[in-house]
Amino acid sequence: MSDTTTNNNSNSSVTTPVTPLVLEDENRGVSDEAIEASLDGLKHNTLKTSYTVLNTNNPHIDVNTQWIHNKLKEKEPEYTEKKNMSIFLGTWNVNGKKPSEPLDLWLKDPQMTIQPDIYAIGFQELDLTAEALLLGDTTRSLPWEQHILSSLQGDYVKLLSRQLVGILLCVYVKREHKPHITNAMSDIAAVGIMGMMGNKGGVAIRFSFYNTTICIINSHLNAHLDNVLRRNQDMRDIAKNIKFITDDGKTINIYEHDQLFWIGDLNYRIPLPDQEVKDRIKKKDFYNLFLQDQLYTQMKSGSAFEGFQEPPISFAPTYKYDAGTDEYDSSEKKRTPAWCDRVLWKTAKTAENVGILSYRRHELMTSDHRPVSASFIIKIKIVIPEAKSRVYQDIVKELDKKENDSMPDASISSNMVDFEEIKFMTPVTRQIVIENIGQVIARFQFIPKLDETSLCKPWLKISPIAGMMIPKEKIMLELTIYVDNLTSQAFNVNGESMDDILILHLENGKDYFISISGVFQKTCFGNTLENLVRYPHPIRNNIPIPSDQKKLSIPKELWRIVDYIYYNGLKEEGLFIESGVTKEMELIRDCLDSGEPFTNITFSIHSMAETLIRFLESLVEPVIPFNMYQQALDASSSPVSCKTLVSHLPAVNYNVFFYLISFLIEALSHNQENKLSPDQLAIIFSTVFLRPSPLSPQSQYPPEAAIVKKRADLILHFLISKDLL
Amino acid sequence: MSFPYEYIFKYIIIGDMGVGKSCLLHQFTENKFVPDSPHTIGVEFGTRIVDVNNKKIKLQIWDTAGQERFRAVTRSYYRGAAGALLVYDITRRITYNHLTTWLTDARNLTNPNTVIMLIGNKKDLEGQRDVTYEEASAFAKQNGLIFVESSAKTGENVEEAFLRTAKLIFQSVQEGNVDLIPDGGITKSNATNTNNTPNLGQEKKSDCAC
Repeated sequence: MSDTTTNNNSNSSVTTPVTPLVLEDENRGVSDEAIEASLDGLKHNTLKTSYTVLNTNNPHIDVNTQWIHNKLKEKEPEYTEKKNMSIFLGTWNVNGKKPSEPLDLWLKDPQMTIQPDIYAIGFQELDLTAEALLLGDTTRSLPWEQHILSSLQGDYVKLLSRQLVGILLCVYVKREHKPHITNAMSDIAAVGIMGMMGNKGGVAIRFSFYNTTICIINSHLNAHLDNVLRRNQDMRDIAKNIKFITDDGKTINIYEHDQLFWIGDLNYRIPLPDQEVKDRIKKKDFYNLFLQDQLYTQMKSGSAFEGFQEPPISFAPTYKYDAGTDEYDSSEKKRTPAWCDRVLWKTAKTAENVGILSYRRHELMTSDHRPVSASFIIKIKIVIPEAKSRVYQDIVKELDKKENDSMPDASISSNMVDFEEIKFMTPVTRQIVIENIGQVIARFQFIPKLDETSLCKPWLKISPIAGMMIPKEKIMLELTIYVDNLTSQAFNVNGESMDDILILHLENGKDYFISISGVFQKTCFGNTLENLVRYPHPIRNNIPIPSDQKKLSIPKELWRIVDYIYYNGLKEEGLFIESGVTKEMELIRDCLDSGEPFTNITFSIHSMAETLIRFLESLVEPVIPFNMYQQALDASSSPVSCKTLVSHLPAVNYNVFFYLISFLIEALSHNQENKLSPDQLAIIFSTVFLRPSPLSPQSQYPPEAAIVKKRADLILHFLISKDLL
Repeated sequence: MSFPYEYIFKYIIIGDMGVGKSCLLHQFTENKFVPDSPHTIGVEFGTRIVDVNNKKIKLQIWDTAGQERFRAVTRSYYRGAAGALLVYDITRRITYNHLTTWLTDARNLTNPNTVIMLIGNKKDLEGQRDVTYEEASAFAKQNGLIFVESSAKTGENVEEAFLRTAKLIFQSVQEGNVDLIPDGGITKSNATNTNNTPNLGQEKKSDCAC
């Protein structure tokens, strides 16, 4: 039951009948709605996570999903088109100041020729108060965000912002793009005081823009000229500690994005004398100055920001100014000017690199830093839904096909096995060959039909009933029909036809039906006395007496056997003692069943004598019926009881008993010649006159000596006292 | 992320010999048509994952032998079918005339919620048409069946037939008309039943008398 409990409806045991499913708009196809619904479903990835949870412990499912997902990713170019979009990244260390001038010079730079599709704006030192550091107060960001919005005006909407003490990152997108942004997430990493406070650190925002993933990090690294290694370490710690957890529990790091941008006050300096730096700035010799820049040298040596790139710098260092002026630091500390404020990017190997539109500084003077911005062109992958659903369908189909192909497959040499003529007690075997024509191991077994417990009819044997084949291997199956006196009744008495259908089942695959047919030669053997007396003509002619007419008193076949012995062999020595010849007995049986005279065949009298015994033995029920078996044993000690018992036999059985005993008495009268004794005959005939039902426990073991004697006694009474009949 | 399927629906395809049951299955699962394919003697089996209302559903399709002599045996495969595709050949009236007996079997051997779809196959052989669309449509209406004419050869309406049936079954599931029981032909995907194992009769293995 466990698998049903996930459904809310499963606990209601009452099911209401389905309403008639006739649709009014029967046209010659399926409604557009249905097609749409099915295509909608192909737009992928919208299943509830609760179901995923249900299946996390199932590797089979995960593997399949992964396969589909990977294939889909592989074929991405087939269902996406590329479009140029632009992103503006701005960074400004505001030195704890509140906004006091419009931001247009920075965000709406008149030199900017295109309106960015995305704005990512980062601040550092937005809030230098202890409340911000210790209590996480973020109220200072509000006036800045208001300033940004008033500068961007109504064309943009905020996607997300994230703040770590004084470090704030806000992402805005053009209104039209908002619906195409998914999985927007943010995270922070602090690397400040004690390596954990938020005065230094980074904040990150990631999102999927159409089908392109973008991650932006805004960081404020440790200050001072000598702290290069510390800054390198800050960068690595931030990169390592920022993680995004998706809805389904997957962790994404910053490098798992098509485009990764890193902005902020990275605090790298220029290790040259103050005057030299200032001179070069005056001469606008930024190139030679840049060669000394710590960030440049660290990146060049691979010590930090590995794999990142920076647009060429063609602007003066943005730090450190006397606030509100164009003068570099005139305080006692006389900080050497530096390019603290930077924009870097890194494009994934699988994605197309960005195009640089601009990298510049902006002359806002509120802070001791100047704001910096960089704009890039990004090739955005845009999904064409129809194409994607087509590709998805193809992938699923491919998977289905593989799955269908990996099902075992086999061929069998014949679905129809005709045994033709089947005779009583004569086994006939036919072979069929099963071959594994699939690509995997095939296990097969015969299975029963619905509501049946056995694989086949009782007169049929299958060997083997189960097996395994490696690809291309063949196995021979043997089917044997053998009708004995336990199974003959179906054909002889009940008139059933000889046929069956076998189900050969391939594990994880199809089922094969095998039709079995044969024609059973009706015979007096394995028959019932009751039935045989309804046939005045040979049994094979199959013309019974109508049920309202008088039947024969004894089976005519019995009469023919006894009559033959009576005239041809009564004086034969060893009669009933010596064995007959099997082949001759089969010929005799044929004559009995077909009505042919015995004169056409040759055989010894012993074969006829044994035929009599075999005939009686084969009767479905013996002359003394099963239900009288125990009474017969009980009566055997007293001749009178035996007489009473026999008088209670059914009419036909009584006739047969009377007829055979009379015949045996006649045979004993010739004991001079045939050397028979009543004891011998009693022993021989008692075993066929009297036997327990094959279903009874007594029939499972050979009878004890005492039982054998009781049986023989019963017959003996009649053989020695003639008037008992 | 999604996983391949949430439900498994069992389908059976029934109808007279030679109406194209196996071809419909192959067209649907493999997009291929094999002309003069041999008669199915037994039960074949195919799967495909489809999407219905954003749910991924695995269709487990049992294609049965159409010969009259196997009728008694194929009946055992009806049990637990969520959908039954009852197929006739629009160019052979006799296959249409036999629909009533097939339908009787389907109704008796499946549960009341089983969605039965009537499919007139071989639509591509318009010139040899022997059963009109209108007539079959009326028959379908009378018996509460959904109906479509298809061509396993060209693929026309094959996808639709299977998907429309799936959609109706799913609707039935959502409305709570159907209990999700393992034997009911509609199974909620989970750890115990994710592979495509047709296990008919296997539970009886221990009873084999031979």
